[in-house]
Amino acid sequence: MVFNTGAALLDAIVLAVVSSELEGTYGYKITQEVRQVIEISESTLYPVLRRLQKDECLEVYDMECAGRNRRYYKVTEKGRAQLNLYISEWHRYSAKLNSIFEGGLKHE
Amino acid sequence: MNRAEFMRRLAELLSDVPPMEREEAIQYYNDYFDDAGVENESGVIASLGTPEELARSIKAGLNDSGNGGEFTESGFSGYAQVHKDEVMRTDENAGGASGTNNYTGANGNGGPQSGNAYYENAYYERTGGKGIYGGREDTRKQSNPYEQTTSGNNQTSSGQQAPPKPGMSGGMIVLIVILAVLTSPVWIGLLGGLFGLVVGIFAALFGIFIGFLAIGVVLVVVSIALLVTGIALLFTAPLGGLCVIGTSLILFAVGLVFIWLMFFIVSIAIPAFVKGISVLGRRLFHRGGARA
Repeated sequence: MVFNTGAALLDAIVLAVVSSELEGTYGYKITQEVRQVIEISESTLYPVLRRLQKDECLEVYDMECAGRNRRYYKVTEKGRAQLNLYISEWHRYSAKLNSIFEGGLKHE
Repeated sequence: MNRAEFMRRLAELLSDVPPMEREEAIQYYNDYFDDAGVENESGVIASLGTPEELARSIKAGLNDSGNGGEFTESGFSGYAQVHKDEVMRTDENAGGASGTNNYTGANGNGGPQSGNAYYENAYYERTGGKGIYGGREDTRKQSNPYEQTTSGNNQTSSGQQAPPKPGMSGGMIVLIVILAVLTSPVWIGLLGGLFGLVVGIFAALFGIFIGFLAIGVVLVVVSIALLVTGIALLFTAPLGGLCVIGTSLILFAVGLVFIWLMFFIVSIAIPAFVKGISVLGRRLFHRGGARA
């Protein structure tokens, strides 16, 4: 991948992935889905999930699955607001970049 | 290393983090292995890296407040420790009116994170410690997180990567050692050759010396034996006895010549050779010193 993914963008991607599952989703699945769009190692996501959890953007609950407890992550209200903020920021940011990449005209 | 070994090692390495955090991480990765399935176990272990690396990323995450740092294919790298209290964000650039790089998280646009120091930093993307956006500061009262990483201004040091400077000199030393090892066939060969030459010349001289000495000693011994025999023969066969005595005297003289040659080698040739070697060595050394 040419472009690196900063912490904010990774937060946004993780929040988006988790929020796409209404009932919540689990670490392995989140990792696989994030890995479909950006190149990260499998060890990258735990610190991010943990941090988002501490910041109350994600909540966790355990649910029995195939005879064992699996930890699920779910987006909180705060997390959803944060994600919306990220999305609108992203639109603005990418629009600016697009105007430079494609337009070449300055709108000062 | 299988899953059980991996997890045991990870638990050991996390023994210095708070118990709650340790259990959290252990449960996450146990879940992860379970969900990946037994058939992917080795793949997951390979992808997670060593338990040491994983523990480091977990510990780094504990100290991380979401500022700076970068997530790449190789995992989390070079995250910046930013003092939260230094990050006093001003909302004047809300809406990006200033036209600066207003691409970060909360910018005070009525967002719910207003006043929360968590998202308030520029996320400097870095490749290998080099700031891509290094020169672009926005209007916030905040110093560049990248500079803070290198200035030793860290809040915590556990799980941190070493500052780049000592790492570089360490790398240089390693490089020099590797170069020395790699070029060793050349310089060891040269040194060995020179050493072999000197030893060879010494051995040759020593051989000649021993040879001459042996010949001389044998000739003298034989001549003395012949002399004794000749004197005994004088009584039974006077003519033969004289012949034998004469031969013994000639042999005695030749033996003395060899012994004298031996003394010549020891007293003249070897000192001269040693002197020549030392002069040669001094000249080489002197020239090397002058060059350096």
